[in-house]
Amino acid sequence: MSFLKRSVQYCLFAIAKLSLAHHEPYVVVVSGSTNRQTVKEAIGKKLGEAFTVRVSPKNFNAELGVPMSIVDIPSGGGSFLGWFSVLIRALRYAIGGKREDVCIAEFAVSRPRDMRYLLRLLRPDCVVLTDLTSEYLSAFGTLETKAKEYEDLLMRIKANGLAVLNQDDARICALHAGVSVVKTTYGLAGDALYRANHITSNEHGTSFYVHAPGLPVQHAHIISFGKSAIYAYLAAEAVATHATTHWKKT
Amino acid sequence: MFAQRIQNIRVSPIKQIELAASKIPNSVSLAQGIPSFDTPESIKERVMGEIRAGRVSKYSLAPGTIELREAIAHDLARNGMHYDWETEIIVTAGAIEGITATLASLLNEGDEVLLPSPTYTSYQEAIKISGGVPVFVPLVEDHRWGFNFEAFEKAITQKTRAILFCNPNNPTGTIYTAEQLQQLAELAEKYNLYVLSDEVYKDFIYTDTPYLTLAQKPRYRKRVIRIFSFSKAYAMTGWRVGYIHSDASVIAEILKVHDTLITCAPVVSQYAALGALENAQEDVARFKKTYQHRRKILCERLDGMDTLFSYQVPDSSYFVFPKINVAHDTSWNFAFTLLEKIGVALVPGSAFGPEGEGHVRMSFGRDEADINEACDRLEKYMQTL
Repeated sequence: MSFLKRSVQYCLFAIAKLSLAHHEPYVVVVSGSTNRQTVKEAIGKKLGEAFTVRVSPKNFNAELGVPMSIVDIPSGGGSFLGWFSVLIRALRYAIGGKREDVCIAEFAVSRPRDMRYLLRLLRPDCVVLTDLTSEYLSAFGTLETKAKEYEDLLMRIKANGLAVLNQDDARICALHAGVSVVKTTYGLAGDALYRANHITSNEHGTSFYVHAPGLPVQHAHIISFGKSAIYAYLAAEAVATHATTHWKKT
Repeated sequence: MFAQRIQNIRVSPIKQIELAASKIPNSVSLAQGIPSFDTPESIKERVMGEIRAGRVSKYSLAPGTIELREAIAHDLARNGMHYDWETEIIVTAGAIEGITATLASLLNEGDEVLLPSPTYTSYQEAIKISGGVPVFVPLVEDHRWGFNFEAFEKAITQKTRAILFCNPNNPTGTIYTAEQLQQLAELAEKYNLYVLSDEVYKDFIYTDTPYLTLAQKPRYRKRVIRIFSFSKAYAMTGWRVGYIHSDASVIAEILKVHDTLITCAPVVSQYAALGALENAQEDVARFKKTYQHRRKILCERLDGMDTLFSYQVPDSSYFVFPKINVAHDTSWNFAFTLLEKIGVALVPGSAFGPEGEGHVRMSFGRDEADINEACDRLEKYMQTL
């Protein structure tokens, strides 16, 4: 790693930490092997109905991207001056006036201990796990090693926080066994707490019924297609329920 | 000895003229549509990181890496097109592989595909190699090379299976209007045809008219297969990466052919495409601005050659498609005469279909020096006539 990148990463990390401590947003972390971006945007859209929300853009999901997304800066490119200017901007963001109520970050892991590094930055109020596949598995050796990364994430959830887990992914559900945290589940399976059924689609999108704890069954229509979009919708519903009851807009 | 199917297939005339030009010392080429730019640094850096991390050496899933397909789906959604990244997008080895895989999945032996004329030269070969028959339908030069729907309808037979067109059009730079696209879709619906919409030049549009695609219309999602390539927009012709998208029922069939042909698009190029979508939008804007400037230069130079050429200012792409105003037998001979006498390579219009005859295609994807040098030589040649 170049000296420039190392220095930028160090400064950025510190500024992002400062920003989170100063503004105290409700922090949602979306992680898992696939579908992170769709879930992230669905949560942003849903929470945007009640809160001001910052959603990490594009694939800002690793050691540089996550802090950049927290303090709302673009890449400084390959030059010292470019990065100096964006770091100043980041600092202004961190120590400035009121920022967004909710911060939605995306965490991706491609090597062992990636998650531990990202978790030095923040403790999430809510974690959404999408699935656990063999993507990038060669760096981990086994799925168990990779699963350990997600267990680390679940263990760092704040005391009154929530884990939102994909019930249709057996490996994700198994993660919870060793972790003491309040959880809810989403999926198409009959035992998911946030569940969709009677799914139909036509050229205008996808319709389904949503079952959620303590709520009447609701009909939903989204202009997107595919299971991934339904998962995103359900995860967003679960996060919204938690956010509105555990974090008051100031 | 070789298959009958390939007896009528030729190496693209564009590549033939480039090959001929490469053998002439000091020749200057405005032939092949290659951007003069290098791939943006941000893309190269992204790819180098992935190579170093050891993530490019294995196959991806046949339809492409999950990250890239998800990024593509989000990019499409931002532009009013909603497609499931899991089942409705295939990352391809450039646009032409996507087109060929699509045609191979759609066509039975002898099926016909309607091609507006003039249009991109390699479509004909992709149709033939898939067992189909290209049927040219003239565009109307006097209407900025717009569709002629009467001619389209007349060309439809029991064997017609699809319409394949590029929008913006190569070689004319035409952007088809919303009304024209709508009429085309209605025609496709009436005769139960698929529509293959190749949109590789959509990022280089020089008018204020909003760009529309039939893939934005939910009604046609099972009928329209949209094709995009990273080659032109991001100066990535050598990476060979693009994508196609359509309804899941269509994509499932095309995927079988794609998997058979190439297993998956090169993974290193898929990461380049991801880098392009994530970080290179400013570069696309920079390229567009430069092309717009070069279009002005080339058109101004053509204004001074009105005894040789007359032309329409292209609304898009990086091509001008002037009509040859001097006596000549075929555009093929005219182009080769220019190459032999003054060392300027242009593409003969006949390469793009019968209506292209009498024209040549000039690329302003090449740098200013090449454009000016080619025009200097053409002006001198004009004075000798």
